[in-house]
Amino acid sequence: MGIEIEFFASIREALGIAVYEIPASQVRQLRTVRDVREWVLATLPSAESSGIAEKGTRCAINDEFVGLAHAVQSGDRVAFMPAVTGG
Amino acid sequence: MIRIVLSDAAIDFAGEVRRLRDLAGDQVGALASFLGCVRGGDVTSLELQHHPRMTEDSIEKMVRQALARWPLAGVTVVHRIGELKPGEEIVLVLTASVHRREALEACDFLMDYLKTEAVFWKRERRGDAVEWVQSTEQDYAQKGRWDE
Repeated sequence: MGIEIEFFASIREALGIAVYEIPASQVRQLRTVRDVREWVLATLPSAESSGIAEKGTRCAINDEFVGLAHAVQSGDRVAFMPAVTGG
Repeated sequence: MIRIVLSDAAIDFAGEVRRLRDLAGDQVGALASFLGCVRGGDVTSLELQHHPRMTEDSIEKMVRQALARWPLAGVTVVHRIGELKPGEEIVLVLTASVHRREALEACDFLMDYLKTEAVFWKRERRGDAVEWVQSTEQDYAQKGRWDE
């Protein structure tokens, strides 16, 4: 199994995609959420200017907020989202 | 006791108050409310995006924090999603308690947390221009009051 990556709000808009799949063959080299983010930055055009690497960007694994150092594994759903603005 | 609604329909303020009063029972002596509206000015519309699974969970988490801090008989949070026009109601928070102080403080607390922790993103449209709304330092400072 690969890793499914979800993008939200301004990051989704900048990248032009909502979901991206890292194939199973490449998952082994990815150990943390930071590695997944680096993979996105190296792979997807316009990732650099999408805000994904900005300080306020939040990450989640399987719908739970986590830090960049959190471990990832095959089958995980990793999400990147900008700082929230509710209310 | 906890009612959380995400909806693209208009907020039924009177109906929500009635529902919470019925649910909370006759020991309740106070019901506090906050109703937020989309500001006008040069904004022509506001779009509210949310996370399909995390938004409701994030609200429930902050409601449970409020319940742990104040003896509340009930809490209602209704948040709009989708596209809104200036003047439309965007969020309703209702808190019920035996005495007024608890209800008022919990309502204030929940709004501060909704601004900074609830998983929503706003996008404002001004004519042809579209811009994502950023949370402000003031929003985080207001929330920080509850950590003191």
